Amino acid sequence: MRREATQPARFLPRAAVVDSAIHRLDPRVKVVAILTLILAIVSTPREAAWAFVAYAAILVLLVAIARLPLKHVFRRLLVVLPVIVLVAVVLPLYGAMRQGNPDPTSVVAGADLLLLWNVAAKSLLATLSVVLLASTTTVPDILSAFERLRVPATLVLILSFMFRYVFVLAEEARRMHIAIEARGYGRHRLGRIPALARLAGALFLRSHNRGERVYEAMLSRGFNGRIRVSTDSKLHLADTLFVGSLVVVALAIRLMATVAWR
Amino acid sequence: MREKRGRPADWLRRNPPVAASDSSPAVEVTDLHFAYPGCRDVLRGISFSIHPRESVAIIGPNGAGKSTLALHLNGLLRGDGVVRILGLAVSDRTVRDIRTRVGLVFQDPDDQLFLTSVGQDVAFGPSNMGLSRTEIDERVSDALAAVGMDGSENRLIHHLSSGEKKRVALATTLAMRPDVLILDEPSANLDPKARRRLMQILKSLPVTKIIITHDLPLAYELCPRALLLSEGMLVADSTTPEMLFDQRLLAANDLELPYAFGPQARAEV
Repeated sequence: MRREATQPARFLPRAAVVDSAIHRLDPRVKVVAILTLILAIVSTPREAAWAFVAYAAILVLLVAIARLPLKHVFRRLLVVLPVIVLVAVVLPLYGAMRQGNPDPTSVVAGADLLLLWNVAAKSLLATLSVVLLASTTTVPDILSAFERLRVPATLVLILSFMFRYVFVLAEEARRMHIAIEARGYGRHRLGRIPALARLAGALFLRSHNRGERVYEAMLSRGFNGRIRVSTDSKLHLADTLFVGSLVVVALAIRLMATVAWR
Repeated sequence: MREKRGRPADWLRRNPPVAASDSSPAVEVTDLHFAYPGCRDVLRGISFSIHPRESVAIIGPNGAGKSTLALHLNGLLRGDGVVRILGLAVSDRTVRDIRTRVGLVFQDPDDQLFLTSVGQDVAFGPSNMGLSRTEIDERVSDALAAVGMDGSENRLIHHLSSGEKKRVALATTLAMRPDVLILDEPSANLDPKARRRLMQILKSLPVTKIIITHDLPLAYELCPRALLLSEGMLVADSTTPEMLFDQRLLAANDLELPYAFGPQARAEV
């Protein structure tokens, strides 16, 4: 019982562990500001290196204000590493192919390095933005922000169900896996495959049945097709200032990047 | 565990349940038949009636039709026969009203608690009733207080222990202020302390209670009356002690008291 209660914690962004001005902002404001920032980042021309430095400076400043532990931030940034490595590995081959040159090592041209820089900078900065949002806002708050920002209700509900039941499913899968191992399965890797396939099938059936029971429980509490998960709250001055200044600065950098590059 | 702050069920005392008409039984079932498509009959002619504020246990072996019966009491299933709640027959027209009068607590709290935070989930029922925000908030905090979970509105459901989930599941129906409370296996998967806690809460609630359970000591303690269901039929309807000490009746229906409460154990002392 106890382990069930604490185990999912490792999946969780450690939101609300620390408190800061950023944590206390209205979730809607954070969603809008971060989304604007990400759009600005990914659409900035790659030649405008100074713009990426500026975005990075803003994000680092926000992370500092939010007092997020650096270790936490770095660990979460590692997600993008495979993408960057993949690009780095594929680039020489790509260059070779384009130029019809059989020796891939000789042709890593400036344009290719620029491509690598582009992917690396944009993915790192965009991920950092998301980490900032996820680490300073609880999931229910983000969902409620989506709802109040008029994201379609069905979509919000699907996300909400996913967040609620991913832990239940993971726990169920873990138990089934243990039960399979306990009966001596898995000596050889290949021998595991049929058992794992059945596990996936059983998990699907169980989820389907659970879905029916959940729906029954919803009906018995008067479900009529609509769910409102958000609570009402008013925007404060700090919220307006935050979203206003961040959006203006991000758009300004984005605009100047285009002008300067031309 | 933190003790709750004094007000176990204030909300009920402030708002006593109102019956449609005082003389009508809380639950009245007449000749109820039901079969799932392609299966043998699950309910085969069940009739009984339960008075307001009565606590009744429904016991019986697995597959006797207990949970199926519960789903009929708030119109989730409709069989042949009549189900009346506070004098109101379950029909398409009344079913929404009936679902606010009958609170059903499911066996697995993970089925019942489907939103992400405790406060949201408890607010789900009241918001479906079209109440105002302030009234919803009041009901949420009252219901959580009634189950000793006050102040947990912002906790995430998947961070709760089994016992806490069970109590929050109960709170989600209490927030609708039902006249009739139906619990399916309330003590399943609870450790003795959590079970005791839940029983104390149930005892403190002055509503009509129907408790479906294999936990015969719990039935004995909470319900003066018991119904015994077997193979879709009502086999016995009597006081709980009478039923639980009728060894022949229990044995004939694949039930038994825990060894420690049975005559053998008493003979050993």
